[in-house]
Amino acid sequence: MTCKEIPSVIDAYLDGELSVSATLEAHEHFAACQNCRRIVESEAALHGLLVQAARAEPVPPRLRSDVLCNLHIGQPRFHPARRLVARFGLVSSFVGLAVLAWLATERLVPRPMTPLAAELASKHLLYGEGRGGALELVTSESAEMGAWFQGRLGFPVRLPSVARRPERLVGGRISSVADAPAAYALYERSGRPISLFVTRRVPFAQRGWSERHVDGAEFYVGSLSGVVLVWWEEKQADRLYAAVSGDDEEALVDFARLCVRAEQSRPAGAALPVRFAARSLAAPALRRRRRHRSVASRRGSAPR
Amino acid sequence: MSSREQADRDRVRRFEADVLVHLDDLYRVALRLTGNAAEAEDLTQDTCLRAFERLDQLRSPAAGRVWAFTILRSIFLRRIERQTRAPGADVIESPLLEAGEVLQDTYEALRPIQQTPLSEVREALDRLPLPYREPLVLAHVGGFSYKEIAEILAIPLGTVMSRLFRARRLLRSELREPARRTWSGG
Repeated sequence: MTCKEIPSVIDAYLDGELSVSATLEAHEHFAACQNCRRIVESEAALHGLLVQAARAEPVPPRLRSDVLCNLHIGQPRFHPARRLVARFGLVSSFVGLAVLAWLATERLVPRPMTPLAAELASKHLLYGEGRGGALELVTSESAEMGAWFQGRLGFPVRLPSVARRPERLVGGRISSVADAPAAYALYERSGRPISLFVTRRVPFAQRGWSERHVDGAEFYVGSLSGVVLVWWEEKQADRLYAAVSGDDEEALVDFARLCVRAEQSRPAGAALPVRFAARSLAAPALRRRRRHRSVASRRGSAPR
Repeated sequence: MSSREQADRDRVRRFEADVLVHLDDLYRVALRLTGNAAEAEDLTQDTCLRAFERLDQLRSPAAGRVWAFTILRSIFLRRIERQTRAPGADVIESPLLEAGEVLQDTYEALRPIQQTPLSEVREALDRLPLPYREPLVLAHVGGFSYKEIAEILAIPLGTVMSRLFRARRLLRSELREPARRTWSGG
């Protein structure tokens, strides 16, 4: 191997990608040529620095336990059925069976969870139960928090004023929901965390949830692993809001209404119509009870 | 214990053995891709959640590492595509290294690179355009071979080599800048 060939193989040499014979040839050349040896030493130093720089970064000690904790919540329930469908192979059969499976799960089988519910509940437990440890900005000022979100996310996030309320804003961070960037604000009521997510609307998110209509607003409500979830949409701005807590449903819906009022109190000309909704992810019996209770306030819901 | 519970436990055990064993490297790669600890943690969480959901797609435990990093990159790219301002989504303005192009740097002019503080190396790495940063991070943080990097990034092997080569040259230039500023200031 000559000095002219060395620059084109030096990376592969240091990355261990050269063949054994080429590695030996390069090695022999470095032993004999001081100039090329200086080059390879300099390159090796750069390689070493990159590894050191990465390895010296501490990994959050709770990361592993957090991941494992969230797995149980996010566990899929219908994979065996999906696998069964996939094995049929032919595209026409696949499409036909998929439609039938969808109809069956939507109309006959109560879905115990949805990916959206699992993600929101997971992140609530991850960020909310840490009592502010995962927050990027700690503040009790709604306006400051909203401005911080807008600067990071590029869209306005109007947070409710909790001055005369039992809730207290703790802070927020940038998160994600359904792979889209999301604002995450953490509130506290009587020592219990309430998470508020603001992100873009999620397609077909309503499936599997039940609706509640309160004061003309439409909410989707559900519960999962002891966590209550309420979400609603602001269609014109393409936004989805979700509130999550370990409190009871009524308290969380009350907080959601506060958020809706904050959104509706935007300056004249900026007000946007809102459509809100909620679905029970709890046991079927509980869902039936809830439907019965709220029957007077419901409008036009299809029988199941 | 019901058969369902047993199946769940087996699934978690398999996930731990095939995917979660790479958690530290997943986080470190996420950190260098996002440049932010909170986002890296979020990205790692989402990657693990998706890997767990799709664990049945993993054919062999040996492929778990490449598979997990492919998922991580896929989620990362989707996020920066959806962000209105994507700081990592740089456009390559200069052409990739041509075949046969050789090193032009005069190594004698470089300050001893071993003395570079690690924080400076990280900052320089974060400033690299994404197409160069990705293979470099996968090679040095993930410890992947050229072939594995090509698989994760879905690009030809030759492109991996040329991007790595150019990435290191760019990084050298970045690391040299502070020294130049010091010299001119003195």
